Amino acid sequence: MSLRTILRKELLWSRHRALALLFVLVLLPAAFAGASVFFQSTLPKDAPVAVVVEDDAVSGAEYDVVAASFRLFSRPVRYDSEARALRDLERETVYAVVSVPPDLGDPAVDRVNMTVTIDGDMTPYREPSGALVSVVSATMNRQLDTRVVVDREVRGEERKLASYLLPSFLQILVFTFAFAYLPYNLASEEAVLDRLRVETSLDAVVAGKLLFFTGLLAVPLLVFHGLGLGLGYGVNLLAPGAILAYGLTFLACGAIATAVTFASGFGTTGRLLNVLVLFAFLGFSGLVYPAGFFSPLRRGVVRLMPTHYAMVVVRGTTLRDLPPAEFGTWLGGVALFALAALVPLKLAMIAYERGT
Amino acid sequence: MAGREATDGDGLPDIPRLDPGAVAPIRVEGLRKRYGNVLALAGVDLTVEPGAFHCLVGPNGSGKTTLLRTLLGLVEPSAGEVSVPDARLGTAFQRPSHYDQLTVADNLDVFGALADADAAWAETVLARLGLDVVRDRIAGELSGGYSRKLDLALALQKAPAYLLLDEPLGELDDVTKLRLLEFLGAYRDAGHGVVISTHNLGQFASYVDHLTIVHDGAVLLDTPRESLDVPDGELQELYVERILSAASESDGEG
Repeated sequence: MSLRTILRKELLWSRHRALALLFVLVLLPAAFAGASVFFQSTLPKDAPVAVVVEDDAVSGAEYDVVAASFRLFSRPVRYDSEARALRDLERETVYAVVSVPPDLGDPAVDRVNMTVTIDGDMTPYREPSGALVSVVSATMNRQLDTRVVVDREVRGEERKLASYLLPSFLQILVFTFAFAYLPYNLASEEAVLDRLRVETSLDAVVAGKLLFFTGLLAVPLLVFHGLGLGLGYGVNLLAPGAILAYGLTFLACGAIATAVTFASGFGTTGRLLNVLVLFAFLGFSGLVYPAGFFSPLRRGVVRLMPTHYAMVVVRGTTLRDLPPAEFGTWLGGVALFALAALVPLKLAMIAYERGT
Repeated sequence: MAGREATDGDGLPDIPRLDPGAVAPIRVEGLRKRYGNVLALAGVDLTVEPGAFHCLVGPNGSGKTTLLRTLLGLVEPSAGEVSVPDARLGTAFQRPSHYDQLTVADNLDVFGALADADAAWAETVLARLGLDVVRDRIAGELSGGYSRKLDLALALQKAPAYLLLDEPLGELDDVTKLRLLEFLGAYRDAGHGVVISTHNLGQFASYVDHLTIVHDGAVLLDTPRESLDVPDGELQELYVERILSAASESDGEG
């Protein structure tokens, strides 16, 4: 009998928690199931590859043959400058650089060497690039009389997956800190907000909270860096560009999470919504696999996410030791995103103050 | 003024005196506040004099808390004027409003710094409210009485010219109630204004200088205590009669 009563109580409870249950039982599963459309391929089949014409002697037809052979396994993009192509390789805009040599179409030439350059730090692309080279080599030798030898050249050392993932895991922590811990901490102090509003201002309280927690990120940053050193990963997580990217990412995400918290009046809806937003950022920031690996739809979304560029900056500065100036525009974009995130935050705070 | 006259001679540190004449009154004119379809305040006119013990009394949902929060600047009026002098306001809400994870001393430290409080005064508050024995305790682990005293101590950090308290005696035991009342009386006697929002006027009867009865978002009665020809023990009855009479009039109109 008591079990029946308890079950009845649960039923009564669920009637009063319809919104939370709708989120947990309908929206969240739908988001997970729906997210499957973003995983349409397991290997990148249309990752952008820079095709550089080595000199003017390369004819249009020769370029077309090369581009066509790459098109089977990637998306060739024509570059006129190798330096620009290599720069874009570092910025993860392309994942390989192909130099088209002259004389490809000259039947008098017995053998031509062609180089596909990949970045040793881009660990997830290592195996796909091997497959790419094999496919391109077979295709070109089938189409041309000249024997084409496709060489795969790796820039820098070939990085192990474990060290490649270190900066990504820290970024995952930053997101979790912003969307889970910060709102929890804020909610635990909700009762004090009225007093704080009398004694100071909500602006000062929120600014203090965001700045303090951004500063706290120094601790996990040092822990990750120390462990990386200890494990011999060769990852410089203390690179200024990375610190800036992590900090700006936290500020932006923290502002969004705080805005959601205030907009929901510290309610359950806000907490659940923050979880959903966290999943969105985890799924669409290109944290582990770079954007070019995804299906066209997911790639399109990822390319719109400022946090994707923050992740590229982090990888570039921590794995490849690139100077932050190399990513000046993207860091500026992430900073603008952080500033823009303050607008909904301010509006949510105004709404909260008017509603209480 | 009713209540205790002296702040000295009780072995406790003194409350600094304030000249009420140097502080402007709080004035409210035509104050209205609407939350959606609910009219919480329906045109309230009110003056709170400095150095007085002012009771805002009314049943639950009458609008007194909204009125208090409006005076504190926490609620934006839908219409009307609120003039709060450039004097320091201190407040304690119905719900505990302090950092649960910090100790009593840490809470006082934080809010004392925000209020730019004088260290000697902070110690006086601690001693007068009997909080010194729990200064190192985590605030979230305090009993209801100490929790309420802590909120009062935080409100007092800047030695406010007006102390605005929402149901300050709720759920306290009789001894703690008595001590808090004595303190509030002494604070008033030292020249500071004390504004109490309550539905239990009887508890404050011997301290009241001015009485405002609020009902359905409007002021039903606003008068100095001395103009009421009833003893302290009958103030609560007077209030209940007024409310019942207003309620039956409303029912009649309805």
